Amino acid sequence: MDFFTWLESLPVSQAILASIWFHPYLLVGHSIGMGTVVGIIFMLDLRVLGYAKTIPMRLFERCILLGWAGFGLNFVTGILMFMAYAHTLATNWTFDLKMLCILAGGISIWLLWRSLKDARTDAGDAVFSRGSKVIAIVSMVFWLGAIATGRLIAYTAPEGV
Amino acid sequence: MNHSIVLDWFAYNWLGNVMRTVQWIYPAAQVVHFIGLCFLIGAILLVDLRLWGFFRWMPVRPVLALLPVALAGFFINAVTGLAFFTSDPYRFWYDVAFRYKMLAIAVAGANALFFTVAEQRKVLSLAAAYPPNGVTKFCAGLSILTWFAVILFGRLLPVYQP
Repeated sequence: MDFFTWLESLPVSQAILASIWFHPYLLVGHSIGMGTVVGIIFMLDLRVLGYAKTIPMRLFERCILLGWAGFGLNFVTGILMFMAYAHTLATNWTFDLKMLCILAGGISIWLLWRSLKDARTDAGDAVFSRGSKVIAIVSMVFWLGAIATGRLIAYTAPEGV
Repeated sequence: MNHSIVLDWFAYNWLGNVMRTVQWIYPAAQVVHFIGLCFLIGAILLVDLRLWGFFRWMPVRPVLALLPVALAGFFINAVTGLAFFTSDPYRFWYDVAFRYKMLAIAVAGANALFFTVAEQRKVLSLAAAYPPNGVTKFCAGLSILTWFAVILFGRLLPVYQP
């Protein structure tokens, strides 16, 4: 038995496939997590790009945990949905693109945060380097890509996924 | 009650026609709807958490600068949402989840309006570290709750589909 067949055969995967409600509620959690983690990332990107200049950078430092909570929720719900539809998703090109976008989005937000090291401690009007602004745009593009490719899985995969 | 005249008007609009006939436009509008969601929820979360009483080292005024972002997100989703509705008004109108979603949006909107009219000025006049009053805290909690409910019912829409 190959790995994906094994994943699909697990009791939790079977429970997801057997229930009308399990998968939709996983999608509910996945959407709330998305709004939380991507929403906070977008606010940080906007702030770095010069919007809402009066917001102290410390606010985003304090929101790291909340952002991770949103990401964690999506990691768990995402893994569960993958388990139930392992074969379909593993061979779906929009799913592959989504994973690449999340990876690239994650790396860019890490690079952005690192580039902000000095600005972060500023209480008031932090000024950001051109490099930081470029990374903020790149991060936004990748996270927009993750949303778009994630939404399109439903159109490129067989019905029900 | 017979809603069919109103629903027909939506259905036979040019927008409904476009949504039904141009193949890629529905998924594209959904992508935009999800992007609007992120801007709305991201801004709302930061504003409401501050009003709820988190981050009290920071004055309220700066975080309110995110409200136009929330409004922009809402506007994007109102437009794309209307487009979905016109594509098949009969399917949405008789969908329980759709009705709950609209109700949740109405409550969230009324709550935001009430806060802006009745509370915002009071909150802004307070010193930064001052604990929020009960009404403000209630508005902030209700706001997060109702917007999450909007996502919940929106995501359950296809399941209830009559």
